[in-house]
Amino acid sequence: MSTTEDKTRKVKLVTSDNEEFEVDWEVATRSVLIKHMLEDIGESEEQAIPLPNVTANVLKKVLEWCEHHRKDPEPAPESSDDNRKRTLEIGDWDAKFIQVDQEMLFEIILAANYLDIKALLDVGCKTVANMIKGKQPEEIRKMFNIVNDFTPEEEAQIKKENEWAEDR
Amino acid sequence: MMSHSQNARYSSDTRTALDEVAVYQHPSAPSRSATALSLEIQDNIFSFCPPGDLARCARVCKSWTSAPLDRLWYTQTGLVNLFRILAPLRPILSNGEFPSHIKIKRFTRDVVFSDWKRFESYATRIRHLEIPPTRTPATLLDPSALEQLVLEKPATMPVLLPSLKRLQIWGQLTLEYPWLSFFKGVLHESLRDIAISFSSKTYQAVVDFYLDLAPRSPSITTLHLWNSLTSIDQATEASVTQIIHSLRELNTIHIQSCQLTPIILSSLHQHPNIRKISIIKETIRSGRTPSGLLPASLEEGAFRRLTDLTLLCSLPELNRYLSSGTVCDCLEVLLIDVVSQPSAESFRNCLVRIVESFPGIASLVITRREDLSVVGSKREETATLSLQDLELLPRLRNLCNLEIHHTDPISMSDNELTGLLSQCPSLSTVYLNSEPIFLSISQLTINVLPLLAKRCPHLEELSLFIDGTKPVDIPEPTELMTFENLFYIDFGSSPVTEDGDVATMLGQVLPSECELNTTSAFSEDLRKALGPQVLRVVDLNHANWKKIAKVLPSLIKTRILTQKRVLKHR
Repeated sequence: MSTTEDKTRKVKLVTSDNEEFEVDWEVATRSVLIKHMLEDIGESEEQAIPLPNVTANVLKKVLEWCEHHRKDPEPAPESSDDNRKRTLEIGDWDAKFIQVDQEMLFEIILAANYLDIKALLDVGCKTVANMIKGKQPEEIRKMFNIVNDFTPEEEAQIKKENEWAEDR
Repeated sequence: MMSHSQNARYSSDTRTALDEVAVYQHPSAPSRSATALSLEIQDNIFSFCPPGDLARCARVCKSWTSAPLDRLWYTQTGLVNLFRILAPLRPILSNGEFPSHIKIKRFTRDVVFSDWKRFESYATRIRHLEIPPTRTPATLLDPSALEQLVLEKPATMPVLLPSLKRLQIWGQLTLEYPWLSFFKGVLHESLRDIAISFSSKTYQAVVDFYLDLAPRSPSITTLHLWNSLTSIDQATEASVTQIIHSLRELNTIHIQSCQLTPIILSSLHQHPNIRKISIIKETIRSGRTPSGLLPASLEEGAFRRLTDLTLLCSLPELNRYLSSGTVCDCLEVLLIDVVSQPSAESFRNCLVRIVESFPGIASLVITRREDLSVVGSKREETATLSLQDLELLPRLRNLCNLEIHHTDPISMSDNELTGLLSQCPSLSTVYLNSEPIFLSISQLTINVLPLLAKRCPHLEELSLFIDGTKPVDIPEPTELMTFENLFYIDFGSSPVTEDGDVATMLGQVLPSECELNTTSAFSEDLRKALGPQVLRVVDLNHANWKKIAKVLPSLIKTRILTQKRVLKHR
């Protein structure tokens, strides 16, 4: 695929609720999934790309992110064997962008995962990690509306076995 | 936020719908919640969490237990957290066998089968295990209890740490504490990466351990031979060779400079899978090793797959080593840690050999010895490198990174250097001895920059030793050339006058993101060897560059504005 053509090329995306979006090639291909689909179709086709797992309101938000980050360099591939502690820092623009309600936050995470947009997925995951930070299990349950399905004994056992890490 | 023009790019028939979705909350969609996230996404979230958060998250609900515990137990330093799962521990009084910062604990009751069940769910999560150095405070299981565990482990658990990929034992308690016999009982085929530090007292035990390990962990690809030995005797040498030979899948070896002996290097030659030979960074340029440490010559067909090679030698010796004419075209990274001050002639000859033997290298680094033996020695006129010593460089067609550390400034005119570098189209990083040990005058001046900007616009990092006291020819704004991609520039300890001309020139040719480095890379040892008189000059030069670095950003900004104005008037 020649780069000069790619710059001007438009891509059509269709969401699960049948909304059609037309965006620049450079913006759409922030998504590795869309990039691969485009490579499969070939460049001559005017075919719209169906995204059955994403609704229009989520895609709109995701595309807003892709537009802002259209010029970012490709991230270096990470080794799966990697367990280094990763930084929780989020850039200023991303921090503002991700100030959404909880439901939208999880929608963005799921969409970024499905569309394979690593950097956006990380922004979403860091946001959740920040929400969890320093909180007790009961506070986390309340925050995310999670039901505790442990018996008190089970919970105490897990606490005991991992106590060495609690104050770190 | 998305601009209006961006919105306008959406096709017109969807725009109304888009405007509506801003307030549309789609109540019929399935509820997205934290517990509905796949394990893969959970793992991504938990990869950003510190241990304390992981431990707390693990008891929020059942679907949230596995991912945080996987992260929490992935890397362990020591095994006492794991042994505590089996049964409660209590401290016992040490009989003076161990240093006082090492606490010894024992089980308070017998370990039964149900204990092993709980143990197993944690033991399978450990991927990396690091046993810290002996001086680190630690809690250890009583040695006899440790040995008993290996004997009593249930038949359903043939290996205690089935997922362990990386094992690093940095402790000097290698003999006093039965780590080695314990690991003999638990290691197996998943192990990929191993490091056991050893001393002259423990090396035989470590060697025996490795030889015993080799058949049971045949997939080991990375070996660190990190130890406290400052020299190597024949017996150690033979053992290391044996270890290398027995680990058939080995592709990467990290070794101390003094131990990359002819015999060991030879055994690496013969190994079918070795790709990377690196000398442990801390032991590079230690100047500890005499010359004469390369095998007689490179054997036929040696290093067919080698991509990274570090050699510690003198250049005449390297010359001899490569003289057999063997070609290793896979080699990408070559670092020569030079042990004695080379003459220009041996440098030139060496480059001939390198070009012939390693035509594909992308990175070539030639260091220098930095200690009293060099500083205190008599300076030789023949040590200065000039154009004819480097003129073969363009034959290395893939060369991206070139780093030459040498005793003397490289003697080349502005036009000669530009001509040479412009013939190396893939070069992006050039480090040409910006901090020579002997501060003689360089022929290079700041006027080389516009030439390089024109002929080598792709340069990303540039480090030169120039004479910054020479008159500066600032180009007319109309014929101005700036570097496109340069983000790092460094003139080391080049002499420079404070007045504004050099700064003005830099302001003209550097792009706005470029950093002018003014920190010296001299080691403490070298500073000591140089003595106060030389250091005063070096530090003064650095201080002058610091003054220039301060005003540079505003000069670059002004330049960019002027350029814009000139373009507008055209």
